[in-house]
Amino acid sequence: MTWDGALKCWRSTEVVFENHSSARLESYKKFKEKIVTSLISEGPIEKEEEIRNANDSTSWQKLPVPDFAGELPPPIVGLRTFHNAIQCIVGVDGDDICGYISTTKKTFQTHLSKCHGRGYSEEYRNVVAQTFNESWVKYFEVLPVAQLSTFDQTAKTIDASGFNLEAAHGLLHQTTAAYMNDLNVVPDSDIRTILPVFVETGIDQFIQPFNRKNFRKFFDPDPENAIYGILRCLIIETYKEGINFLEQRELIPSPIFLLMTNCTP
Amino acid sequence: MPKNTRRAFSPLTAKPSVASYALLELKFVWALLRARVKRKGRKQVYLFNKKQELALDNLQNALEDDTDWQSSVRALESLFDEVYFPEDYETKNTEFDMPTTTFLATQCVAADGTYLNIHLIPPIMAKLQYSIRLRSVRRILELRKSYPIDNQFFLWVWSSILVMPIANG
Repeated sequence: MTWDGALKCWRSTEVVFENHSSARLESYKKFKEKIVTSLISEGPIEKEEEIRNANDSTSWQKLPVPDFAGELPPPIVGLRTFHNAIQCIVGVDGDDICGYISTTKKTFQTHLSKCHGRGYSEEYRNVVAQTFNESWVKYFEVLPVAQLSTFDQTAKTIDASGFNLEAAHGLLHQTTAAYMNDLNVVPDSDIRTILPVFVETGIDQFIQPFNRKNFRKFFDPDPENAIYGILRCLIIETYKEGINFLEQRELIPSPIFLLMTNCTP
Repeated sequence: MPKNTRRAFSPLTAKPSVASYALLELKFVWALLRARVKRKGRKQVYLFNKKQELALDNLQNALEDDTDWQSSVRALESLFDEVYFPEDYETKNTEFDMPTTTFLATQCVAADGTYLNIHLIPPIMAKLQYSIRLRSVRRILELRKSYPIDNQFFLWVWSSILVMPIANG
């Protein structure tokens, strides 16, 4: 990832898709060498030691984020963008503000209680934020996407009259379909690939706070577990008994049975 | 007029169907037991009321003891009563406060984090619905026994039956 001063945007020199098996995947060492060489040749660093290398969350938190001379940086391609992050603007040390950014109200309240000794504050503002590390989070504010167009006011205006957008979409789909088939893209709120049924039923919103790849794993069946084995016997036996009971209708008062069998689809 | 595609509730006849339906119920109950022991302090996927927590604890203890089959059966039945047919149940925020809806929501996500193919979801819903109905039989019979013969509800059931058309498959 390199910063292109002329275009005023981040440019990626390599794109790595998660879950995408690649026959040309390089070893970690070679990959690291390539990244380091790229960073040195492009100028952001002069030697490898300048690369962030914190071994724990505290050291990581202390590392400064890149300074953009007071201006907000544009969102970095490839990092998740949090659109409704909360920045604490409680005053500290005279004119300075706290500046701490969190993505949930809960962590914001924890911060208020821990750092400012209060449980509630209206001194906050919503910002767009990103973080380099989602395990040891340290958010920094970035420019909202809507304002990116103001970056280069000298850009040429494109004449869109007569442009067939639908045909362009069709062509794009046609050219990308061949190699997008085996990509396993995890949808999120930034990528509108979610089926409407998941949005309308509230399922998408419900599972958003959880890590989609892990949150089900804990609840999945565990045949190795002794308790699971006992529960399995218990449920299958009682289920079969229930079915057998149903087969002997005369045991159930007929009005109740008829009501049960006619109430819902 | 579209053909009425409703299917009457009836006992499952094919053995593989019984196994498949029962295993979904097993998956559901196991998820609830796991949710009950999940570490505190983290955002909880499943929310339980006090009665449900008690029923889950009883079932967990009965399974761990594994000495008295009947007490395990009673603990399981008690859990179904509290989860499927809760009395005076108040949801706190959304419909996902109920274990059944939460379970269905979790089943919509595949192991790799993507959404499940939409065509795979209705069978899960059907199996859970069947489980609720199957487990309601014992509950209804117990209720019938506990109320007097001239109870208004059951009299209403009788009168409803007299005017209700019977669905045919």
